Amino acid sequence: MWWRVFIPSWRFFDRPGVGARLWAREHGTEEWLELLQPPPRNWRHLLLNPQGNLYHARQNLLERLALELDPQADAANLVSYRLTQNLVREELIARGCAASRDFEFKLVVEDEDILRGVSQGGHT
Amino acid sequence: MNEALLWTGRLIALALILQSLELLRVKPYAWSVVQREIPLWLRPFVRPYSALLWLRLLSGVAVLIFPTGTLAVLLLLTTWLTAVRWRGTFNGGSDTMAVQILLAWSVSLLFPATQTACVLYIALQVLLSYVVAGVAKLREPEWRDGRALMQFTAGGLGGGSVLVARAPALWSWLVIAFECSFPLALLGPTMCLGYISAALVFHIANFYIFGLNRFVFVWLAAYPALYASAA
Repeated sequence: MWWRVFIPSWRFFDRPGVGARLWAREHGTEEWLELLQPPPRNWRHLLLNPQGNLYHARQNLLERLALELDPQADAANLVSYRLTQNLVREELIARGCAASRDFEFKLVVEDEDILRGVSQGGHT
Repeated sequence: MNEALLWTGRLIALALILQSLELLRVKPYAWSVVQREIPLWLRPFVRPYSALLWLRLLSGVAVLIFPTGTLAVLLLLTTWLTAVRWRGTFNGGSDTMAVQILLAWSVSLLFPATQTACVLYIALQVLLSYVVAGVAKLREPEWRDGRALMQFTAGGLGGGSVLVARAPALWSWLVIAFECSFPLALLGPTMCLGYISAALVFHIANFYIFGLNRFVFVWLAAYPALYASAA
């Protein structure tokens, strides 16, 4: 997709996305945590909004992963899957989980789990 | 230089300075993962990500003082390579519009005889950005009855969903009418200023509800060309 930015596509907000949501937990625990939440913002973010834009980029990553999933293929080979693994690890470590732990995650669309995965301790 | 292009250059440089400052505070995707999608010949240019951002930041500042073709091309290349690191774009349409503006602006600086054509190209892209989006919405039943707008604003912040929930179909049709009628901006300078003002309100509302700040500054950079075309 190295050429993608040169091709205008102006169909902004024409259809709602699939609404993919990412949940994760430490391996062996019961409670699932929803990982991506829009960060709080105020008017100064009109100039600089790094976390808000990162949130949108990550949400786009989840939407893309949901669209790329193919029942006939191994999801673990997808770049989107590997990036989501990293995202899960970064988010859970930021919430105080130990980096050495294994993490489980699931991608949910319309209340249905469409993907389950694992992010192994120490993997980046 | 054509005054519209002078302002377009200043404004797009400002937008890219802000974007570079934002990206310097964000951890990019792991190189070990994303490099698989990048052609071998391009990898050496995309890999030094922080250097790319600093180069773009400094080029942006320099362009504000000395707008030259070389600096404009440097801004274009660094913007493209930064987008590649984010798998095509970091922020979708705002990156695409920035590249369209930079393409035309670079050509106008390198080949001054093309200035009028470059102004018209930028104006065309900004017109299309509204009209194509408007027509795409018009074709969707969920947009026509307000459901789509409700869904979009429900995922946002800032009380936009409360406002939309009071009259979703009305707000939907206002957005569709505004976008589809945008070519009327070319009828004259007064009409154009009216549409530019409405567009700014529209983009600031999108920031307020969704946090999409980049669209405000990138589209602002295209308006001088639109105004020059209308005038």
